[in-house]
Amino acid sequence: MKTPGFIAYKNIIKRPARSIALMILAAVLSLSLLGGTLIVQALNNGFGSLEDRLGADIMVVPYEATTKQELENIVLQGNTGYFYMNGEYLDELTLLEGVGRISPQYYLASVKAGCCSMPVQIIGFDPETDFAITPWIKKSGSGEVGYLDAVVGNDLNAFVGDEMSFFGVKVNVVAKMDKTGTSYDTQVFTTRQTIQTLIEASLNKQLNEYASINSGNVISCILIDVDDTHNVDEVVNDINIHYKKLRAIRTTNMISGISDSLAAVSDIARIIIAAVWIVALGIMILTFFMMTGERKKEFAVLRVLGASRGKLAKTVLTEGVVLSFAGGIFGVILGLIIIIPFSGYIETKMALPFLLPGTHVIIFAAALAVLLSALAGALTAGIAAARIGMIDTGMILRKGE
Amino acid sequence: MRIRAEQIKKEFYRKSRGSNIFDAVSTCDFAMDEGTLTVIKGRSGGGKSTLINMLSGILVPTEGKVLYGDIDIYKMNDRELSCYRNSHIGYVPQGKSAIASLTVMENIMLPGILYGFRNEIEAVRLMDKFGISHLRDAMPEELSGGELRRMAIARALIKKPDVLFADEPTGDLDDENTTTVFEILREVADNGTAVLVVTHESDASKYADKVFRMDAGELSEE
Repeated sequence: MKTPGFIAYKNIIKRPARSIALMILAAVLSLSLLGGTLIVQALNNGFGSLEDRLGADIMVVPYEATTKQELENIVLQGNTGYFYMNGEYLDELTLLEGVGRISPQYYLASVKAGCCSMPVQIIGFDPETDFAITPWIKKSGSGEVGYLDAVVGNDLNAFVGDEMSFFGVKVNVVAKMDKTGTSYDTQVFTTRQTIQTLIEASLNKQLNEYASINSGNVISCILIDVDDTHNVDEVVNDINIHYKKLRAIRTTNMISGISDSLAAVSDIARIIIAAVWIVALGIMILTFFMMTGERKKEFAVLRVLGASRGKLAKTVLTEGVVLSFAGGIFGVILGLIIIIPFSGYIETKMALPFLLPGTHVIIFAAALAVLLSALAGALTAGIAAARIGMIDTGMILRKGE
Repeated sequence: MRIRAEQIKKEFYRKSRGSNIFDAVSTCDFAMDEGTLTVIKGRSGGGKSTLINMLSGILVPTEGKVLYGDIDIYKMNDRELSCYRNSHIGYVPQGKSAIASLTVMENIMLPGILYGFRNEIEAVRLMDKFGISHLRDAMPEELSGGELRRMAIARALIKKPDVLFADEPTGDLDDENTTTVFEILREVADNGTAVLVVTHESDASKYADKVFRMDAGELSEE
């Protein structure tokens, strides 16, 4: 082992309290950096996923759905619920000026009873016109979804090949979606024909709030993509003026609250990271300064034994880098242990869409956190090393300190 | 090798007394030869340590030069001078000078370790010679003052230096240990090393070939 490494190693081993304290500070640096970055990144991913998941410019629902806030509960919060309107609205809105793509959705909530495997939100889509759900299903590697087939969200305890029962009707799980960080993760998706069968079954079992609807002619929601030549707000206004029983909502407005919350959480996370770094760096600088003060005589002795100023500086620098690197790794491991298994809990507590980035991004963020912690250690130790470079050996030895 | 100081002087700026500059060591000449033990006596604060530090290459004189043979050591850069100190100069600092995180053995080998060489055989020989071989794996905090001082002398001698400086080597030792230390230093000189001891021990003179006195920065031969 080279000289600076040998003396640094000995100091680290023989001064465990100080070494552990410095490692903990470095761990706090990397933990805050990794934790903050992953949380902000997961929120951004979740929000992006939510935007994609909405997949349309406009959502049209029965007017009472918006007053009861059922729509937001289902779409944004992942709660269960359903509402219906006459299916003929779909034909009428298709003819509206400015409407590009248009597709219906069907909502049904299963119940916690013997007839259903689990209480979940079931969403039906029309495979021929759908442009919101199908891309996600395809992204998950699933093929065609047929009659009485179901695709389940990632968080649901159901897997490909399983059979689920809703209102006494058995459906086969043909695919499980990738994690989206949104309400998709707790929902079940079927085709229009399947969900119509399920609605009919729920009516037959008198487990549907709507007692007298025609299951073959109701829809819950209409998704609209406005064509490029029209303004989204104009189409929204057009629908809201002409269809009093409907409510057209611009999807970006639906998630503006989430966007604001996300911005606030991101700002808070950044402020916390900055505060933690400032405090921890300050303590590290202070610790190294105290250490150089305490060991002034030792450094002076090393000088008379033939250590150059450069060698002394390298010794302190090595100590700082080794401790902060080790602490950085410890902090990263701690961060991953906390964030990855508890991401679901964090998501619930924050009530915001939360989608952790991919493994390669996490590895990159972890490596960066360790690197920056080690650099912080090098910087703080470097300041101390510069101070050591200026010590007057003769003066220290003359004083006999 | 002859060590000479020509017209060296050290001034210090004394903050507590305005802009007063004082001479810690007034202009003087000094020389010592291999195989001799030189003692500089004097009261505390008289400039003895300042002189020894200038002679050993760790305190740049305000004026004058220090020559090891024909080499002016203060013409070297820090790296060269550090390396030169390591190879040619042994130094026993005053007070406790052990590196707390190293064992006795590692402390003794430290001058070698600094330049990537662990001379264990010589370290063991010196420990045997100075009666501290049973402490090779002990930490400095476990040693008595006398043992620490013997360890510091062994460390100063590990690289067989041309010159050995000892600054108050018996400062806090009892009579028995003081005698032991001076006997060791005498033996080192007899083996060919130039030894300079700064002390206020009156008994030191009987071990010396040459005795100087230093008071208020003025050096005089006794």
